[in-house]
Amino acid sequence: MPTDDLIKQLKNKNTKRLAFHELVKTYQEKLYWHIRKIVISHDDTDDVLQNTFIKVWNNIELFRAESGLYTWMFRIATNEALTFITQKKRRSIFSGTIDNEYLINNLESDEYFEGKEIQRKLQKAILSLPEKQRLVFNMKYFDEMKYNDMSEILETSVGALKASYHHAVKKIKEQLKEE
Amino acid sequence: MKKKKNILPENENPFKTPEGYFDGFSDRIMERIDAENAAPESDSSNGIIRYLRPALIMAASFAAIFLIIFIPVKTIGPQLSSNNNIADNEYALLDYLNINERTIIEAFELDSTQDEYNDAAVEDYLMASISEYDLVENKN
Repeated sequence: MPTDDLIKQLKNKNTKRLAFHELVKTYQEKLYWHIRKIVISHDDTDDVLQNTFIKVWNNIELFRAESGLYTWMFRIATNEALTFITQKKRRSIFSGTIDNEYLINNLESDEYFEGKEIQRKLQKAILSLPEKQRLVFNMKYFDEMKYNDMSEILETSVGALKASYHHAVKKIKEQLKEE
Repeated sequence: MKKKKNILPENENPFKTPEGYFDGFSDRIMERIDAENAAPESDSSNGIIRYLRPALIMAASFAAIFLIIFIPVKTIGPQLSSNNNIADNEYALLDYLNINERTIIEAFELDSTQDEYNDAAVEDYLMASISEYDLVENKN
């Protein structure tokens, strides 16, 4: 179904449910993998993905077609994932854990990680990056997203995104060389 | 799968999901949406309580403060009020005494007029009892 028709059906009370079912089927995997790279664990990703679609359901009437539906949902998913991590970090302050230790622990104990050792090292190096650089690196390196789309989702200029990606690659390379 | 420069490994996805995860996801999300939409209707009274909660807490605090003050006052109160009764009684007694004082004065005044009356009566009596002879005899 074309996106415009899907949006119309989503905004109509009589067709909303069926259209939403289709929306979930269409975007669930793309959003899942985007979130998974941010929060690492499958269970956390499942929580964040559900929260993302609940937000979409509750706010679809407010959606304006200036930004694409996909971009809009990606932005919600990114915000939900970052909020989730922030909350986890805040809780872990009391248990004495440092910045991204929660995520590194998730990576170490993730039963659904099936990459090689070099992939695990790469993921660890990515987790050591500042949040924005980590997002940009994942979206560019793994999702091969265009800078223009990334710019809309992260609300950052293309130039700044390119700089972030450049810094991220440099840092990751240095870290992989050290090990 | 592309190879990213020399050092970076292939950009393949190292993660996986539980089997059949995506098959049931849309049904699960719809169940959750239905549950969340149903919750506010059945819990409307809870919603009102949640809305009024700050006011209820404040009212309960005032009630507690009132009781903390009221119970000691109620215990000590009768003693204070009995003192007041004594004071009232004193006023009543004074009023009573004032009346009695007047009554006593009036009684004294009445007694003195009675005495005057009695003196005149005694004089009349004496005058009536003394004969002219006795009077002449006394002059001499």
